[in-house]
Amino acid sequence: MVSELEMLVSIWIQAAFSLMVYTFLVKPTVIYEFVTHTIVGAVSGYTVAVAVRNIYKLAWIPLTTAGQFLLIIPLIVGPLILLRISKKYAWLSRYPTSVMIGLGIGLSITRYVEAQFIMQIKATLLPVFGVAPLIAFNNLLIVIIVLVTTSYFIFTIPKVTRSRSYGWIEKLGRYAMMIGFGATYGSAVVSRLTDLLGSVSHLLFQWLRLVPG
Amino acid sequence: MSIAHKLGNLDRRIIYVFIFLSVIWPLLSPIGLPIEVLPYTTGLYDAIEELPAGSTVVMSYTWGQTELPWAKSPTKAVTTHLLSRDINVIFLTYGVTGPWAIEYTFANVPLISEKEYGVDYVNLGFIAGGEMAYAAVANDMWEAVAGRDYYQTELEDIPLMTNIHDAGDVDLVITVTGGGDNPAGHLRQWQVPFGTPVAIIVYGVLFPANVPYFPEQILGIINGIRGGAEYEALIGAPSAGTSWMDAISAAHIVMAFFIILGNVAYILEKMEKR
Repeated sequence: MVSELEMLVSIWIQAAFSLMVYTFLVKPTVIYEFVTHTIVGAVSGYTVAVAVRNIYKLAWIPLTTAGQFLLIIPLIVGPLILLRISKKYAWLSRYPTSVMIGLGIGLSITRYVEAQFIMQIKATLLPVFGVAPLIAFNNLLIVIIVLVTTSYFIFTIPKVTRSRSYGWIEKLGRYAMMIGFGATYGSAVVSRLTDLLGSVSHLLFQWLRLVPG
Repeated sequence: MSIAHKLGNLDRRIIYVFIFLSVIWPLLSPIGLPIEVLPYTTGLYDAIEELPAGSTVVMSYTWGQTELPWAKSPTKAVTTHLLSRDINVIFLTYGVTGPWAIEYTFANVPLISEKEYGVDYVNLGFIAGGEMAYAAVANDMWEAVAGRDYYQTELEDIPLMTNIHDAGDVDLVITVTGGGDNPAGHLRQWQVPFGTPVAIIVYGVLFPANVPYFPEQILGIINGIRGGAEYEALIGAPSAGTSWMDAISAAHIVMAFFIILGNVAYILEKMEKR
């Protein structure tokens, strides 16, 4: 449980840091640099603490109390990744890195084909007859956009031949991708606004204790 | 200097002031604009409504303090909905700051106080490893957390975990993420081998990239704070999400105005040069 004093200190520190970050809107200042460095340092320290706790819980305790002696291997190989910073022993960090990459690729690639390839192709096979007109139009649009966008990436046909014979398809594909990027940008704008809202909301309602009318 | 040139090179601090005002005003004086609920949100809502009492749902978190502004509303609303339907919830996280996020959820969902830890909900804590962690949890949840929950209680002493060993024993997994390949990772490691239904709560930037998976592969997509506001409307419990939508709408209008202004200035400048 957090005491009232701890809560008050937390609110004031958060408000101070928010206002210090806003100085960047005028121009980059040493105050802004101080805040960013503090946050990076705090997050790094927190990450290290959580990582140590995790290793203790998932490896050390089972190794020492449950007789899972095979866990000695990741306990020895894992920290080798930190030798990346040593010029002499950096080559040792390749072992844990290669294990992680190999495992990650092996796990994902076997199921990638079904989850993100076959299922996506199936999802694109949409009905355009026997459904409401608006849904039919929407489905047709999806199918056309998928086809023109994927045709944009056919690079095995020479560019001159592409432009002459089906350049308009490539153009459509490019426009479709631009619309998609625009939608992603729009979502990014909402996301950043949400972050601003969080900060402003904290300043108004927790720090200044204003009440919405 | 022509007006077009001045408009096109407007001091950005003027824009910042307008954005701030457009955000502060609706927060202090809510307008109450209607919120349209989209199919992406009703997809998850309906899926939870169809689950019988006693089902088990995994809430997998990959968010922390920096994602709090957008994540607190949808996670609170969805958790409240799950608990109100007597659905058991297993919380776990793949992010370093995830344990904090789980504790935040426990502290800010009032219904939690009416439920019993270990019977109605459990916290399995942080599992590192990304895709390897998703696979480890899906294949053997007990092994992935070394047989203990976040508070070091043996899983054998937790009634909720008695019949839950892998993803096949789970009725739905809801992943909350602010970035990365988390949603697709759950499709690969939970849905393809075990058939576990997947739903997601994502940061706005990730929403367009995950729409293609809806509804065949992902049951529902909660789009950040907007999705949170929609979910609050569905469960009849308006909260932070609802109150912030007015400010988001106002800020968008201001931004649209300046985008149009910038484009008009650009066209006028081009005409002047001719």
